[in-house]
Amino acid sequence: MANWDVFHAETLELERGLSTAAVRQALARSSVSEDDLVRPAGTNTPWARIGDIAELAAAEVAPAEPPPTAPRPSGKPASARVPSDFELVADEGLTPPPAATIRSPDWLELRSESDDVAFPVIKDPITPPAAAPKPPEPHPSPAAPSSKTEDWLWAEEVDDDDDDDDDDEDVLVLEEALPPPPVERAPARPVERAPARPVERAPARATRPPDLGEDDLELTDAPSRIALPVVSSRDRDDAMVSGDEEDFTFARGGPMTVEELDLAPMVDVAFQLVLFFMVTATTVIYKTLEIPKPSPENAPSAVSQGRSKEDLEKDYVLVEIDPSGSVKIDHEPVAADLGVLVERLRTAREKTGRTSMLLTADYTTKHRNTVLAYDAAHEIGMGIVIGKPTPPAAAGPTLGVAPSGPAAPKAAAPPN
Amino acid sequence: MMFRRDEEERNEHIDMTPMVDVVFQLMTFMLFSVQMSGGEKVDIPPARHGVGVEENDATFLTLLKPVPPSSEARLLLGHGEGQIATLDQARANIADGVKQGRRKVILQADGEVPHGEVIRIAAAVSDVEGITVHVGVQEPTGAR
Repeated sequence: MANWDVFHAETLELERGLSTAAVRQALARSSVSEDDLVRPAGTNTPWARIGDIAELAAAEVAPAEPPPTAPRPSGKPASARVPSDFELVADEGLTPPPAATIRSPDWLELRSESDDVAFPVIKDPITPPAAAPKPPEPHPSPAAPSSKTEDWLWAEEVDDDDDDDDDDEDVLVLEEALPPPPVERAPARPVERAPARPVERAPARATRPPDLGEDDLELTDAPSRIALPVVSSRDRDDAMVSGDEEDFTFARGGPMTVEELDLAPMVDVAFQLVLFFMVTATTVIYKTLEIPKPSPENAPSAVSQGRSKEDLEKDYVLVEIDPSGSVKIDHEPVAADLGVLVERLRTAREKTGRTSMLLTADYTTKHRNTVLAYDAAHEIGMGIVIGKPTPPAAAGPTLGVAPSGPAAPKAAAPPN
Repeated sequence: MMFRRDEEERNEHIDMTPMVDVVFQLMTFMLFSVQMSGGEKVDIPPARHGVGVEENDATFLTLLKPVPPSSEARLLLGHGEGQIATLDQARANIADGVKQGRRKVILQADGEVPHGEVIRIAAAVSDVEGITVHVGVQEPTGAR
């Protein structure tokens, strides 16, 4: 009965040594899906989907048949490669097997069978040690060809020294315990009921298994990631097991480390914002209109006293604002609107060349009305002269009421 | 059959959401808590033009409108708050400011204050040497 290693793709677990019937039962129970991977037990053949293996997926069971090799993606029949495999071995100068121990050297007939077997199997089944964690090295070193035996052992020690130290011990034990089988590398090694004991232990292995094509898995050229959770199987092939096999696993490598958020950028941004607002908050900009500095209250207005209104009108655009807020420019009423004021001021300036505005507002007119006039003057860049209003206790506005009076407005400041 | 995981899958990005949350909260807080421009404490008249004066460069006087319209406007030292002061106190205050390098006087006069009062105050503080007088204005709402 062929045994299988089943790799559960979902749980990433490996079950070894399941019989075909067990696999099929598991398949029926849905504890194994067709997408799980399987390979002949103890072999290093590439994993194959269960669904791709007819023996497991189909109803028929061929208990006496050894497990087929994994289906080749290339679809080439494995039997076609058998000759090259054996020829390779034969080139190594193995002594031809004694005829008596070989069932039939006519392996060509075997090749013609439909369910060909890629792995020559030892005729006598070797029962591996039950407690051995790893299957013993199956290839029974031939005791008869002594020189070759030493060579093989040496090669094997060199090959297997990477991860399994006990592998060699198993081999040695086996070599003592087992009767010397015939040269197992015989080309016509009959394939029998032995439980999946493929022998790939050529003394000088090809760097690539001869039955693997270019379109098979990348096994040797690139670092192989396909080797799955593997113990070194009996026919462990170092050509297929490259150095990084050990660090490959399907599992996610233990519990996921929760990565903490890096707070440094956030703190940077937050501090920059705080700094920005602190700096800008402390320097509040106030929007102001600069007005000419009025002369002190009791200062003698010597400059303006001697000037009549007509003199002033020659130099300044006269703007009057009465207590209700209505505006006159050069004695002409103007709507108290900024646009209109600007236009009239501009016109007056262009006509007469006067560049400053003399603002004579009533004492009781509202501040916002005069600011309107200031704003209009700023709009076109006129200078501003503010006539000092007389308090309401006095006889009224200085200019508007008594145009011919002596109380000319004091020029508060020179034009800007 | 490639079991190798894609390299891009392993690039783990920082989740920017908490940072953006905090930044927006900060910005919102600052926007609501900071008054970027002065003038709201007094209903100063609007004007389209004007010059910006930094707060640290100026001495503030506030002229509130008279509560009974017939009475005099109230002069406050400082911006929008403070005790009612006389003209002499205002002059002294401005003189102190000039010693500290504040050579501008901002007269935050309410729009309802009579023009004569503004000019009277401005003329009074002009006794202090080396100052310029500004009247506070604000951005016109719904400006053209």
